[in-house]
Amino acid sequence: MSDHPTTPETGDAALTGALNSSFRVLRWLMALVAGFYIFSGVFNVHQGERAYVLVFGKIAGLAGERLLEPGLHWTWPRPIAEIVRIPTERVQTVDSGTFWYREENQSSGTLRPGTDGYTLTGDANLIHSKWAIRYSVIDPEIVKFRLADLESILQRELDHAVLQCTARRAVDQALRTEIESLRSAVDATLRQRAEALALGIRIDRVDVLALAPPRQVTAAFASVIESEQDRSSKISAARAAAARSLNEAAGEAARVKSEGETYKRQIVSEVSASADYFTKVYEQYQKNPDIIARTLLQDTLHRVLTGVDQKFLIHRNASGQQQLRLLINPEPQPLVQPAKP
Amino acid sequence: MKRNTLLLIAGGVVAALFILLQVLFTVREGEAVAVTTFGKPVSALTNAGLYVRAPWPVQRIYRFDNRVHTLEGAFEETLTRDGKNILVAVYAGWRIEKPIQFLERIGTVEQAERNLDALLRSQKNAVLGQVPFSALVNTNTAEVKFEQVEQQMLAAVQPEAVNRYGVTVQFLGIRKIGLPESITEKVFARMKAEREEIAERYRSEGEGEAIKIRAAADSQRNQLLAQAEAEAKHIRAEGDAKAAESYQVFEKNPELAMFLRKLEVLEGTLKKKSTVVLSTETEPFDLLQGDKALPKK
Repeated sequence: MSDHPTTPETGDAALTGALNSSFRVLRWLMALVAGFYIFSGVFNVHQGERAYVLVFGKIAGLAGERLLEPGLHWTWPRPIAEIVRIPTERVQTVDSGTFWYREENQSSGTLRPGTDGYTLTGDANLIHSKWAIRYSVIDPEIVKFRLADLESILQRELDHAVLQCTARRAVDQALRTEIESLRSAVDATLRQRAEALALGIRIDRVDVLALAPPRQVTAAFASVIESEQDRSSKISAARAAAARSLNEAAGEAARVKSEGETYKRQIVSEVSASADYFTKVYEQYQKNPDIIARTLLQDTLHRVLTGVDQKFLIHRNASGQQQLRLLINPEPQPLVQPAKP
Repeated sequence: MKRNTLLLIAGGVVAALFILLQVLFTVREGEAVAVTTFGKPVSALTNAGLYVRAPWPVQRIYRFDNRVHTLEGAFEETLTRDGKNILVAVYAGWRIEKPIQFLERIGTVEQAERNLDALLRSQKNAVLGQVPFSALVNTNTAEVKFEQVEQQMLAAVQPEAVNRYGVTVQFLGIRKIGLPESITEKVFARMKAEREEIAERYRSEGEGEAIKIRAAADSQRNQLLAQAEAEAKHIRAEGDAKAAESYQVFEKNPELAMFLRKLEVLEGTLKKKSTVVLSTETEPFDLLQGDKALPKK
């Protein structure tokens, strides 16, 4: 119990004071909410992304300035404005395994539609392949607001291009001899199509990740490669033998010509020496032919017989006849080995 | 007085917000909106922005994703003009063209895809039934009519899709072509036979080519040697001719020349390991005959 009873005047004053306080609090609260609302429009665009601001559903900003760069920005908070973030990795990738077989289905002798993927080549053979596209977004507005699922479109367009280009090539061209040509054809077809459909992207490159014949005929394809290797090795061996033969022939030809040259030099030199010798001997011979001739003969016999192994002299026989036999450079007789006991 | 003003402002703002939320609405980028009045479609909006409407229950808005969607048809069998049974899957890119018609006839994206799939299927069969298999798969590129086939399908699908469902098919393409499972086995048998033939051809080509290379090399070798022999003969002849010039000196005394030549031959012929039988009348062995060899006085 209070010692001083409360009067109506003092009660009104207390209520007024309380209301004033409440209004002050409410005013501050409203200002705070308004401030917080305004401040909540601040947002950050991170590295690796860009952003659009939609004000009442429409992209804000002038053409060319709509895409916000990384940094701090402000816009009206919801429900007036909405921020739409767009990843802008420089190069993005889409893979396609539509034409690859199911690994678990290895033992089957057939290809099951819808499970095992493949393409038909121009000569009605079947091949498997895996592909990838690397692309960059050049118009995020199209990608974000005009297309529901860019990757889905790109995957189908890639398959479409692969199908078209493979259908124009023979199996050997597609699998072995013209892989790069096939890749560049798919690349060109896809670029053309992306431009025609205005997808807002730039195709950087199309890659072939894998190419293979169906596993059911892998051995037959390997056999062709083996036989091709066999053909190459036979041709290489023949070329090597031919080169060796021609080199030997060139050497032999050089030897034959060299011998001819040697003969020429030798014969000229020998005859020239003989002529000189003759000229010199002739001068002396004219003075005393008999002595010169006999001296020359005896000197020659002396030199010759010095080196001869066996010399036989035959004296004239009673009938006055004599025989002269010469054995020149006899072949050596083989040695007779003594018989073993 | 001041308090009342503040209260009035706060109340007015709240009331205005409530009314605005009832009568204003936005169409977002990539969206299409159909507006109905008492359930009857009255307007379609495809441009993004802020719009006014009568509050519920007078007017109601229906929002649709107006971006391009992709639809892939079933991978199923169809017959070409030449009776080939093949499997073909077609895909298409479509978007809502007429939101009111779309609302009335279809209503949802899923339903739209079901209807478009049926439409694609019938047009695919109709167009492929008019072209031979070789128009789709051929090494002669001039005969491949891929683009024309797709254009025909697109041209057939587009008007019906717009008129019937209010959607526009923006592009269309063949994604897969295949063969029935049982046929693939036969294709493999043919592929194997073809491979064997190619392998055999490569082997025989290798042998043939090797023989050709060796024969050409032999011919070249023989030619080279024959040419060398001819040149050597020519060189030897030149040597003989030049040597013959020196022979003229021997004409001064042919007997002496021949005598000297004989001596030269004798010396050159009788080398080691020779046996010589001579008469004692041969000089200087005539000395062995005693007095007969003494010089005459």
